[in-house]
Amino acid sequence: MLRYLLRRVLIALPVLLGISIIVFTLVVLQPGDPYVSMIDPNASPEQKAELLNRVGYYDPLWVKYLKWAGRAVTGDLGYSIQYGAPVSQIVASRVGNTVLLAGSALAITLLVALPVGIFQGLRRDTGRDLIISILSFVALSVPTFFLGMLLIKIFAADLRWLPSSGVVTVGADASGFAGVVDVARHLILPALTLATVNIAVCSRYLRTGVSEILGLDFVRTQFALGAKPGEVLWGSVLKNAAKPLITIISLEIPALLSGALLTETVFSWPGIGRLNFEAVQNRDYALLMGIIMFLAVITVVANLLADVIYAIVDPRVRVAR
Amino acid sequence: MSTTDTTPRVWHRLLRQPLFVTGASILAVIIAAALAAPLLTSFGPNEIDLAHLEAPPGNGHLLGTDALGRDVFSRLLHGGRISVLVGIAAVLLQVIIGVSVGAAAGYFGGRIDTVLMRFTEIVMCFPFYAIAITLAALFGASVWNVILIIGILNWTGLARLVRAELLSLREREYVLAARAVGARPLRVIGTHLLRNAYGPILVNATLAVAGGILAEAALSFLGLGVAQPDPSWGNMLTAAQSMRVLSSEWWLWIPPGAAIVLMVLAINLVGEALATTLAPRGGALLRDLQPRRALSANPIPRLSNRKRVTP
Repeated sequence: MLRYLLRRVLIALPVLLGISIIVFTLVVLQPGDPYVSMIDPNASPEQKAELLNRVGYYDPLWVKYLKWAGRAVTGDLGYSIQYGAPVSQIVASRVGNTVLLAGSALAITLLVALPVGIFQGLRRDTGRDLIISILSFVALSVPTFFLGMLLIKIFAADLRWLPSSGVVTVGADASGFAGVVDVARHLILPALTLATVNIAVCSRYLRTGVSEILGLDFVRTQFALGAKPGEVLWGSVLKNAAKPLITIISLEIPALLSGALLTETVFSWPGIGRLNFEAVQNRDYALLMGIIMFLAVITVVANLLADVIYAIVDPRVRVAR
Repeated sequence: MSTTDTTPRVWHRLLRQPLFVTGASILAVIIAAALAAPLLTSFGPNEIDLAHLEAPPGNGHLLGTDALGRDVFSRLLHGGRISVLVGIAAVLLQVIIGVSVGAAAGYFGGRIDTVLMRFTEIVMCFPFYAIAITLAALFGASVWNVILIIGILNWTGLARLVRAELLSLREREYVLAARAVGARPLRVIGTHLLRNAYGPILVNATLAVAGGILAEAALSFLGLGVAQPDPSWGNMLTAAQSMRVLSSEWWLWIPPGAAIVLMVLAINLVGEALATTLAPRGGALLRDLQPRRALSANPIPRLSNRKRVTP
């Protein structure tokens, strides 16, 4: 197991290195001078050159990369001129909101997808299964931001049940229990928006898993030996059908975090996604690189985690390669 | 094993599937409407009617007008042309890159395979929207840049698929025979290997068109895709970023949104039908949504495909 883990980590390292080089090249290619807003417009050209020299503006590309990478390893992702704060600090201040949103979406996904997927697996090819399948197809076909706007139109603008944007009601200053309720009310619509596609994906996997395992020999044998349907379902079928779900969920996490960009934009949710969009609009190189690297690292780590968890629940994988 | 003699049978089987017929009919109607735009509406997509600004449906404007007095129905039809063009062109690019990389890796194996697949893994770890909006800001917003961005970032699934298919095909006897008589790699790959792997490739490419249309819509909605005054379904939706339009001017944003949903749904239906006909191992959705196992070559263990025994 330890050897398997070690090999996975060793494969992950060059991937991270490659991503960082490509991301760096990409961001440095951006047109425009990000230091314009930093320098006093009345400064003489000599002063400007001196200042730009000091921040490393004239360094060759590879020197810039090494400087950046060296600092990044120690957690220093540079300084955002636009926000006047270290990148790691800005990212850290926003990441909580995104985790809250993505976490709620994941919880909703599981709450809905588990019963629905199991039901579909047990009743495969019946009328009700077909109806749910068609609904899944529709859910997979709606752009997240359009779904978000529809929900805002219905529940915020027309019915006035829920707020349409932000995390808390501005000026309400609610604290304690009232504060939690306030955040929860703001959370419902964006979390539902983000969860919809994932519900369709996860229930689809469960449906296939459950119905296929029901047809396997060991299940038939259990029935032949007189086991009760409930026992077989909970004992053997779900245990095996849930295995691919572990992988899918750990791989959904990076997708949820980076995919929250559109949802966060539509609902003015101050998380990583919206920060990312703002960084592009402000040409904030350092911040942009920090965010992309942050998301890429999470993707790599989640992949690693998925492999390791899978190797634990299914030992065959460890020797497979 | 040649494709020609199986094609009619494939068509027959497809036409018997309600999923395929429904999806293909919707597709045909949308594409025909987009192509016949000038016949269906008397307004040009950029024609300004100063007498009717942000007018609700009526006065000859089937779906009303936008803030500049342009006919929404006309922009919807012309926007369809651009959205569908972006979806298809981006997938062509994906197919070119993905099939080349996958075929080279799968056919040659060894060090070439390692290098190409490691590179594929790197691209797979890119957070799509983060990189896409960075690229869009870098190159500017235009139809061709959107196609390039979507194509360049989304070929990895196809590459891995083609590689896996080729790995399983390349030791077949007819391939060995072809190589033994001196056929060159390109010829072996083109005439023997890819031709026998066309089913999964076609399914994957079909579903990718849906993905491309969704990505175009998202980028254009953010103002980083198809730029005004060209209409696209995505950039028509940008209008709804204003709360006033969102809550009280439905004709500006519901029609393009509904068009995207219909189009993507139709493509997904066709893809699902193609998958069950051409590559009958699990549905298209399963295949397409195969999680990104970026760092691992272990596939999710496939479950047996036997018929279910009713308990």
